[in-house]
Order: sequence, then structure tokens, then C-alpha cells
Amino acid sequence: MTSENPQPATEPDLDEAPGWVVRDPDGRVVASGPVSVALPASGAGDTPSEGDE
Amino acid sequence: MAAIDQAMVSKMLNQTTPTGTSGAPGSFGTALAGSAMKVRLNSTASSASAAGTELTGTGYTAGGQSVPAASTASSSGSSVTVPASSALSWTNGSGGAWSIVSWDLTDSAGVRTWYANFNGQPVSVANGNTFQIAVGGITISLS
Repeated sequence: MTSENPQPATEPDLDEAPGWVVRDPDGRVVASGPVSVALPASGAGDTPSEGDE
Repeated sequence: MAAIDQAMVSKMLNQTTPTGTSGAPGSFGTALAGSAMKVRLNSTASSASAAGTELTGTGYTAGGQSVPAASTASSSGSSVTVPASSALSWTNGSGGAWSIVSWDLTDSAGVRTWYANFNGQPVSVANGNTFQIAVGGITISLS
């Protein structure tokens, strides 16, 4: 019985890759990393808790 | 780290607080443009008050690249991810290396809304190489 051989994984699928990727002209990933998650301005939305004063 | 343009912060605050006439909600001011928003890339850091210095050279169009499709809208306070459906991609043909530090999300007219620096910046992209922001690579959240 034979079975199909899966293709070797050469690089991550872009959907599963980190946020940014640098590829060479052959499409190989040469660098990658996450993108900063945007956060609200520091302190925005903070409300004093009981006992803060 | 602040990640909303400070002018946009004021728009959001004014629209959602009693800063209008007789304590009504205030005005957002000029609405954002109705066409696809853009992601621009910069060689210096962006801040709350200003975008970084935009990339230049063959392979990069001033103003940035339009997002390919609508992102899934926030619901119950969930985050919004960008880009939807396909990666944003820039191939450096400038003749020299790009040094990418930050990004800005703007409307189609260049009005800035959100920004951040890339983790691992500066990201060096040699001439001939391609820089991509993956599908959902940017997460925007208010919680």
C-alpha cells in the first residue's frame, strides 16, 4: 500500500508566519518577526480604585 | 506605548464625551476618507504626534499601500487585525537596503489613525528582497 508523501516543509505558510517577513528573490524567508500590538495610550481608561486616594 | 495618533485620540474622546453643545456628544470633526485605508512604512520611529520618515525608492509608493479587503469588525470589544485576505508586500528596488522601523495606518487621504514600531526594528531589507506584513499581522486593540 502506498501513500502520498507530504511535501517537505521549507518555510512557514505566510498565514502562520510572524507579523512581518523578509523574503529573498527566490521567496525564501531571510528574516521575520512579530508586529507590535497596538495598545491604548498609557493610562487611558484607567480609573482610580477604592483606596487609591 | 501609545499607538493612536494624538489627533485621533482627541477625535475619539470628543465624539464620545459631553464636549458638544449643552453637554451633548462632541464632534469627531472631519470624517475619515471613505476609500480603502493604507499602511505606510517608515525608516524612523513613529510617535503619537507624528509619523516616522516614510520609505522612498523603487518598490515603495509614497503614502503607503492600500489594504486588500475589509478586516473583520470588532465585536464585544475584540481586536481588529490587518491586513485581511492577503499580505501587504513591498519589493525593494531602490538600489540600496531599506531600514524599516515603524508603520502607520492612515485613511486614503493620509490622515493617521494608529501606529507602532516593528518588533525587531530596524528591519533591514536588502535590494531585491521583499518585505511583507502577513495576513492579520497587525493587531489593533483598545483593551
